Amino acid sequence: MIAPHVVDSGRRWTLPLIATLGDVTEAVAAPLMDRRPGRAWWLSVGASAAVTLVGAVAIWFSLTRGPGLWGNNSAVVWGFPIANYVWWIGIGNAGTLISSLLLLTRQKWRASLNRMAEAMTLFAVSMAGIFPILHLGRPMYFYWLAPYPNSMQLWPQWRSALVWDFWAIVSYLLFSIMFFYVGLQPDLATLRDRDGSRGWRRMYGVAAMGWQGTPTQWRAQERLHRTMAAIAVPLVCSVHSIVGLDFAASLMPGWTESIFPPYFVVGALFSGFAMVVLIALIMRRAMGLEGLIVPDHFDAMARVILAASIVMGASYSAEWLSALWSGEAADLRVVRFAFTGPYAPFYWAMLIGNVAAPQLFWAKPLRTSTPVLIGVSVAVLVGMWLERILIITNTLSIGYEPSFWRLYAPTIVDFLILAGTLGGFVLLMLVFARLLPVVSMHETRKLLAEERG
Amino acid sequence: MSADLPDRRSVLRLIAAGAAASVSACQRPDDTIHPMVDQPEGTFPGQVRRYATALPLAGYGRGVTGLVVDGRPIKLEGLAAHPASLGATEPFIEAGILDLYDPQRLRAPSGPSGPASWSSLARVLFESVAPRRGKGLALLTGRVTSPTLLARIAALRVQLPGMRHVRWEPFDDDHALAAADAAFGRPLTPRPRLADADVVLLLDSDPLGPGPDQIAHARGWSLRRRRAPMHRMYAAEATPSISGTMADHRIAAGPADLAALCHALAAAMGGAPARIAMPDELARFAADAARDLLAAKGRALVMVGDRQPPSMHAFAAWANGLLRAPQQWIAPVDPDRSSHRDSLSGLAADMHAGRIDTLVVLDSNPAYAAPPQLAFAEAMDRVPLTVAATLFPDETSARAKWKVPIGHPLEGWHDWRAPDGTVSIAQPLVRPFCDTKTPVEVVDLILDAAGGPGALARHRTQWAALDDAGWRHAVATGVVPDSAAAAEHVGEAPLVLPAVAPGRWAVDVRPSPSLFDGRHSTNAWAQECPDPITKEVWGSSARMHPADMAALDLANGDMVAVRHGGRVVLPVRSVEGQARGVVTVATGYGREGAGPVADGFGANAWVLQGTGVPQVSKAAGRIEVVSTQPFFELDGELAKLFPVLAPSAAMPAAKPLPTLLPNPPAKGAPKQWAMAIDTDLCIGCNACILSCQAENNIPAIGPEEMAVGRDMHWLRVDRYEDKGAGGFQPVPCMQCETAPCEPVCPVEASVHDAQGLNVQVYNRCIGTRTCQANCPYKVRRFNFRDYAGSSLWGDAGDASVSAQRNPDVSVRARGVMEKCTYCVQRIEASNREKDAGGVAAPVQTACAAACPTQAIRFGTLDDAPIREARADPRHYALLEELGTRPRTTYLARRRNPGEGA
Amino acid sequence: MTVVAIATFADEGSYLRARVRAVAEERRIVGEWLPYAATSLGAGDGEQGIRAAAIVIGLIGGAALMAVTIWSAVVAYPFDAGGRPVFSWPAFIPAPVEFGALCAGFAGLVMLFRNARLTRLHHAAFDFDEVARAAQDSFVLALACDMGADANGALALMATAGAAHSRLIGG
Repeated sequence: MIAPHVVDSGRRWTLPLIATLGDVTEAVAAPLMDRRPGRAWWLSVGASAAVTLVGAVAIWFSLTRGPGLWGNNSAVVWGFPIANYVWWIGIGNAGTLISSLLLLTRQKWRASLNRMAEAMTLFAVSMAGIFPILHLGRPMYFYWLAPYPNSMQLWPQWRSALVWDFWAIVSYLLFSIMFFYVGLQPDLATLRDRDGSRGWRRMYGVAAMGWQGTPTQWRAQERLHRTMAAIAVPLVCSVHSIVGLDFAASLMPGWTESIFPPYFVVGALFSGFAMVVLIALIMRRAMGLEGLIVPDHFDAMARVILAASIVMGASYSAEWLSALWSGEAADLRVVRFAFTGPYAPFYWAMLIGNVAAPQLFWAKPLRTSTPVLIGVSVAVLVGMWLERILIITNTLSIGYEPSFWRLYAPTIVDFLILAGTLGGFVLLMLVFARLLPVVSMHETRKLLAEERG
Repeated sequence: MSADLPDRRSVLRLIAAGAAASVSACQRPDDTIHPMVDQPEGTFPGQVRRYATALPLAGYGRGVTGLVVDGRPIKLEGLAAHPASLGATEPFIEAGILDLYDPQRLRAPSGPSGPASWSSLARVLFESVAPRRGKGLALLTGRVTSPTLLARIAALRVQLPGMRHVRWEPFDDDHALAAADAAFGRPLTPRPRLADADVVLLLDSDPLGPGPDQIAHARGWSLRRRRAPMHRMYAAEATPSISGTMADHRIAAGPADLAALCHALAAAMGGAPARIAMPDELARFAADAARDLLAAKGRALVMVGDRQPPSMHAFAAWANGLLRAPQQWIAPVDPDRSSHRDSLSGLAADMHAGRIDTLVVLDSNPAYAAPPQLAFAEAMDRVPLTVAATLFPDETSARAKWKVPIGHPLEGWHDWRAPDGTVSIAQPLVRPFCDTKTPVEVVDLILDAAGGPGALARHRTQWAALDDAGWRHAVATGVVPDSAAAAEHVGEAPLVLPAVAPGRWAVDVRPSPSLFDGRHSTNAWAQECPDPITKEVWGSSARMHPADMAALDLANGDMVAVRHGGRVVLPVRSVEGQARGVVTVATGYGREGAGPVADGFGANAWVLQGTGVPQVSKAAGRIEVVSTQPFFELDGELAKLFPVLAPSAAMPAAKPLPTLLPNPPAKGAPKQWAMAIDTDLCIGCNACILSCQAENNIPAIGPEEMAVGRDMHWLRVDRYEDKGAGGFQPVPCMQCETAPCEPVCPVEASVHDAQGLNVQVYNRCIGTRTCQANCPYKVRRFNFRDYAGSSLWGDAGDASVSAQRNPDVSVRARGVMEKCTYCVQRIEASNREKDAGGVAAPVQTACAAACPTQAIRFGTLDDAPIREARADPRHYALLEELGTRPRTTYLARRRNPGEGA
Repeated sequence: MTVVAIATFADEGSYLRARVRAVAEERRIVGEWLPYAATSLGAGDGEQGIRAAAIVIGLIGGAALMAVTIWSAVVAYPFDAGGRPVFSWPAFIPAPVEFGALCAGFAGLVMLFRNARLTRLHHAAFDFDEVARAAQDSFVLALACDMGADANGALALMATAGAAHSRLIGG
């Protein structure tokens, strides 16, 4: 029932060194269960834990001393926390989107990437989830966003995009955990049944919840996986659309744009793919997965990044053009400010990272060149972060009232919190790599069987 | 009234035990004081009582109404019956309430060997002055208009014939008096009536600017401006002032230009043939002004700034005589005929020469504000016994061997004359917090260790002519009837013309609109109150013309050294409309030893009162003085924010906006509150800002937080420049009917009430700040830190300051958004009053009540002032194209350039 | 006496051949274990109800939150937010949509556990090494047969189909 256009071309997504189904299991499970973590892993854990700790201290200070520690001011009331939130949730959206979209479109090459993409989602959304609460003036009352019976008989204000956002994040995070687990369960059974330390196997056994691999189970799993993928794609799009609506459902120049929801979704996919490329490059090298993650994978992802960068460029142009053809003075002012104002260097850097740098991927050799992949991915991630912060500062620094035009300058605490979440993300990825199979073994087996078959 | 006092006092005492536990010092004075109106019997905790009293500025009294809750004065409002208040206030009055509670205040007397008592000071003084019958004793005061204090000084002089009373005010009127003396043979003070002037020419005069007459002049000016046909105001001045900003024609003019202008005017008005070469622009300005002045004889007025030379004042006397100007001459309210400057110079010389052995400085700060060549601080060291009686520690008290605290005006009995001579007898509203005395009591102490019978007895004796009913009436209403000075008949003044003396640089020392001559530098609200022109807070800069700056290779914020007598180094700021060659520096900054709020901000402009040729040069370093407004110029589409109309022009009719919502939105209660602000009358004096701050418990946040841009003022006053017609635009919350801030709040902290108010529920706010992000007017304020609980007063803490807080207004916690509420506590108090069956007075917001020009009008949509404003052709809503349907709306600024322009 | 013939296959093809033959010979298949969701499984037991549950529960969850929204905003505590209508239905849509998706996913997961008879940490199948191998790399087929010829036939069937290993259990 595979539509002709999605039939894989003659490519092979595994290398011959992975010859049998058992090789897949060994390639993925052996580093996990048989090998002790190396020095590099410990060093990385130490470094990222240290950075996380610094970030945690910065967060602690922010919670106890208040948002006064940040660079926000009366005009630019939002700053790093919101930008970080949007950036992380964007990356977080990409994992599930990549996994489910490729599943639905039967892109078999997803098999060796979807697990790490989904893990990336969970960790990125966890990092993102810190910020909406942290950024509050009174974070201890964040639960007021939830509807619960209370003596004041007060309910959330359902018209607020922030309430939508609350439901979106919560739903998305829980949904992603379930989606992740459904894909992971057979692999947990594999680890349970494999030779290895008894304690670990017992733990995996509990986590596998009695998975056997009977046809009934496989049918149920496959049906659910696809069903969830079908739900996940619109869910992911809606989540980041709602994040876009945090800005677009407003009255401020540069925010009130109907292009925001799709543009945010593509931006999320874009930054997510960049992050997946980085993670895949590192995992492949560190875990010896050269047989399962092949240059063609990077080629495919580079193409997606290239396509997304063109959409991003088009989105930016649409912003400028809509300001131009509407002739709205306030909108034009924001565009002019972006290009010529004090933040202009960052705006240009954003354009280079998000639009210019990915154009390197027009050349096929560059799509598989590790340095280029790293360079472009980092450029995209930095560019996307700049986009997030500039969306906030450009509009809020140059609103309707010239008497209240104010610039934003972050403080050291802002940077430490951002660094802390980066550290936390890396730390979680490192722990994940030592705890769970970083590649979906059962799906890779199927891919291998079909390729070899 | 007095019969029931013991009863009520015992009730109050019971209340105070519980309610005012934290402010145990706050008690009603022991003396009998008189509320303004007889209020119904039975006070209840939290009830606001209103008392008439007065506050001085530069020695002149301005009537105020003190709002007292549970024994605590918490707010000062205007006093309608007083000619220098007219029911309105200005920044110094509004900030005055904070001084009462300021922890920096001098609390107890101290002598050369540490803490001391008033009686030991009395003994030392007696031993020093009695044997020589006052020879070698100098009493230095500011301007004294107080009949009682003058009488006590006179009485003292009878006992101590050798005593010398020197009165010196940093901003003096020597030149005006000297000119009148020369013209009419006696010193006289001009009292212009702006309400009757169709054409006004201001020669570096700022009648609408800071000073004891600000309210009276502003009210007169606004009354005339409301009337058709429109009046016209010409201003020639060195630096943009409030008056210059409001003028229909303004020209930047340095000292030489002003003198030349006088010559040209004199020629045009037929006085003198002298022709002086001047720039075309100035000549045109002179010709237009002269033409209009002459055409409006009887209703035309020329005003000259106090710091201009006597010859220019004399010229104005001549011109006003010729124009039959609407102004009176009165005998100076300050009876001292000596020149301020000369008497201080004489005293300083005698001190240097060792001829003074006892110096008592009473509420004056010569060590800070005296001209540098007097070396007053050093002179003080040569005096064996120096006593400084002061509210706050200052430069003079730092040098004095004895430092003794005088009370805040609200803590004791005083009397003052207003600039027009009207006497107010000011009653205390609270018992002294500290071991303080009033000036009258300090003077009494010089010969009487017991300190005399007390201020109340002294004042009652002074006003013995009033019977008890008359006294009660005078105290309760705040004015002594018919005490204004009578108009003097004067002859014709001869034409005198100032000499035109061009020079490369001129130094222009002006009163800071926030700190005045420095006596408000200790006030945190004043320090944080933006300068009307530059919007600077917590610091000052040297204002210069951009071309002058370019010539010295200076950019905004670069340090510039100015030398004229003394030398100051200040950051420079380019100001549109500054005269070439003039460097303007505001006084009140550069304080030392005056406490953490005052010290270290800006530089002391008073040291620039030297003689000789000023020098200006670039200095090393940079300081960015915090300014709350970065852009003043409106170009292109932005001009819509601040439309400027021709005298009879109307705003274009607003197009109804397409909407899917019910339009207009359904209204709740019958009372739908609204505000209308006439930008044509707003003079940007900032009274509203500080009134709002006092009323609504808005904390001052300090220079560091202001530098980050986190101002907390609920109401800001924007200043805009447009070719030839700038102006001010107060921006409180617009209370939009379709408020963009409300639907974005996730927790219903920002909601609309039935009376049309956009209310903020502090308890419910979790601080997402989305409301402010989405507010096109940016009128919401966020507590980034625990501003209400933190202190700007260093070690002193803010415990005493918190006693000023309005009990009807929540103190906001960290992390909470706050905003203008249309003073909802006042609206609700009125509603309660009405519910209780009483007759509620019309509700006025704090800002509207403060406004000297009554530019802010408040009421329901059905009330006449709002209805009329909304029907006015000049009516417009700010950013109405956004569809927010503001309840706060504006009347457009007008400019009346005349056919010449 | 009934025994079980169990065999492991290294690839899907041989497993499938054995299975087809077993079905053709009308043998009773008592157990199958696969290392991945082979396409050849086709439709069948296990899939039932997952989609339906997701759709129904998703709709119910979304509708429930919509009801809470409308009740709280329109009935319980209506108030004026920026002059917007009390029943601002377009703004009420996003949260229920998100929540409905979550409910749908959760319902599907519950159905997975139900259909796949999870959670079952102890199961007789885990006693056989073959089943453990199935989670690694092998296909496992277990046929019930009578001791003797029938059993030998079963073993031969699986061997000819390409079983990597086969044996009889029980007896």
